[in-house]
Amino acid sequence: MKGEARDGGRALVVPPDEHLTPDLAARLISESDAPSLTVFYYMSAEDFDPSLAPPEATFQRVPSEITLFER
Amino acid sequence: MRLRLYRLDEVYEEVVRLARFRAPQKGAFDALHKIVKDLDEDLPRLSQERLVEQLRERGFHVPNGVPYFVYHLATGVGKTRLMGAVISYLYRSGQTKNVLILAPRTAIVDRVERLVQVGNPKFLFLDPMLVPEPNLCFRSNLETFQPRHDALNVFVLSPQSISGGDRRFGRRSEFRGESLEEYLSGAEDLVVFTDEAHHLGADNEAAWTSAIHALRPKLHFGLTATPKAGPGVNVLYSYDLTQCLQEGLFTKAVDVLVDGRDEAMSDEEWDRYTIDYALRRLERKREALRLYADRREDFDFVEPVALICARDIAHAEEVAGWLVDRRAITPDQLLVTHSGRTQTEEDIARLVAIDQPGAKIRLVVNVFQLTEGWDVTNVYVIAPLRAMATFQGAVQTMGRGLRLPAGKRVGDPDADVLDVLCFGRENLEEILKAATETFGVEAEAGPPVGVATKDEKEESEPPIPRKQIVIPLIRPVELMMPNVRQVPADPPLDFDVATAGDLAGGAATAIDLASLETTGLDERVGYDFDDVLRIAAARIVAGLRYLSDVKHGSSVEDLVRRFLESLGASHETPLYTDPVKVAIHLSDEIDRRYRLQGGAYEQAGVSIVRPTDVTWLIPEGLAGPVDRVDVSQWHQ
Repeated sequence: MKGEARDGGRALVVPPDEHLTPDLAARLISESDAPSLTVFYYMSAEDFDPSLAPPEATFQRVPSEITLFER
Repeated sequence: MRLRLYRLDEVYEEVVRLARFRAPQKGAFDALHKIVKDLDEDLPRLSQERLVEQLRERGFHVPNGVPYFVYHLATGVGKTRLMGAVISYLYRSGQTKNVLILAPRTAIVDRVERLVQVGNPKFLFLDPMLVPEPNLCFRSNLETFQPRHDALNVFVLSPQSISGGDRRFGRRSEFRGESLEEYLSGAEDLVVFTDEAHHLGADNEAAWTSAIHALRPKLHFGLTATPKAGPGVNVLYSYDLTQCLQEGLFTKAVDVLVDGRDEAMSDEEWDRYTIDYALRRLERKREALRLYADRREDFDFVEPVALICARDIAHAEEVAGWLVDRRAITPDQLLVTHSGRTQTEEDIARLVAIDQPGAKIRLVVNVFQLTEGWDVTNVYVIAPLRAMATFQGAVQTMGRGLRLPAGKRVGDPDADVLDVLCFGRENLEEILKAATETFGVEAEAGPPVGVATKDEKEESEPPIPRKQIVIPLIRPVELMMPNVRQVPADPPLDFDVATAGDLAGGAATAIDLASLETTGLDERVGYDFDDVLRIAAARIVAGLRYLSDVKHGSSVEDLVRRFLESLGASHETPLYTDPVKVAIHLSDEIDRRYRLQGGAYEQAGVSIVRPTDVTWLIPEGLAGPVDRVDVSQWHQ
């Protein structure tokens, strides 16, 4: 899934059954020609560290811990 | 009488000339000369009673009929040479023809056996002119030995062998017609020397003293660096470690280097930190010795050695393995010695010869094996590990590193100083206090050992000059290196919840975000079964990065459901269990199983590596690699 912001920045979603690995992250960054890149993902490999991403790239795990219920 | 004194002085002068004594040895030797001169007759012609009477008149304490004199000399000053000179003097001056030398350790007995043989470059009796062809009795010829009346009979044994440890000592020999025990106890002029004499008198070794007394020697001398006071112990001369280190004439100086423990490090990591520092110190020592050897034709380079003291056998083996695996120490540079290893003749020969030019050993890892009798000159760094890394532990092992390879200090601090590492156990203040207590030195005299932190030491030293070298590429090659990447495994979520353990008690607490009121501390908060299930499952997925809500969410919920049901929960009654606790507990269980699975790997393409010239910084004095192997020989 891909999306594009007004400033040209791009957003991607890694499919929920695919691990975000350092290899995949590097490939996504190098393939992107947008001024900024945000990648959403569900799960990652253990050796993937989102804090090591370059400034123009953001990696964001899709939150799952928000649970709503009525009382 | 005057003739006797003249003869004694003549021999005294002759021995002093040949011995080239150091000042403490001379002082010790003079003390003996005075005692012998004060006697009114030579030992063989004096009855034991008259001898004891005359010595008592001169203030010596002889409670049990055997006069016992102790030479207290610090390690490295030359006790063995003094013993050789004393024996030569007693023999040449007609006091004795029967000398028994006792040494409590096999290594020392072996060494003395070598030293008493004519032809040894360090011949114990100084010169064959003084003691020509001594008649030698060793452990190997105990039964066939024949005493002679026209030579010095020298018996080199251990105290154990004369106190029942060797039956041959008391057994009659068909060659002699009597046992060695009978021969020695019948000799009118027996003089006994005990090396490392502090072993005598200890409760479990009192039998040794009894065995010596049973031989009724005329005189008994003990040599030690750590004398024990007691009845009948007459310290004839004392030159202790404090005085020795303060005068700085005969041994290395000692620097005790202290470093505080980083609590974040494990024991293994701390060992490695300590050993790495020891290796760095060793590099400085090597440079200094190499420079000295380059300047002096009369000194051949010897490899400086670090002595690493491990806690036990397993620890020693682990340290040795790490040095080989991670620090590229080759087997010929490393010697491991402890009671669990069978020491081959080759190992022992390597150990006693490590200070010979050409020896390659750089590290000796031991478990309290080398406390005495290992008298090499090139131990420059001592690193006691773990519980031994205290000042007292350092003092106990210090003696093994005090001797100087050139026989004297050479003016370069790196070649003149023994570094003792006290890392991790005691801080600087504690060690300074222990040093003052141990050596009992007043402030103005200055401490006999230097005590500094590791950082202070490094800041005070000039860096080792280095030069850049280039190891040129001999032949361009391309190496195909496969790229390997780990394939994330699927986590196990269908395991038997009965094996997932139980949950410790702990009820849920709720906070009303509007009023900030807390409920659940006194009255428990009850959740619906499904609420607990959903909260716990969401927390589990959020906490484990390899889980995807979409892909694994339902499996995780199923696992939580089965777990709750196994605890007896149902949809009908409220649950008082904290869902966060459930999540933490099950996350741990999932993660533990996930890690046990091991990883899968796959190849992802190939990288081509093209090695180039290698640029390296090396110490300036290093001439070149120790071994060069031609490329054509690499396959061997």
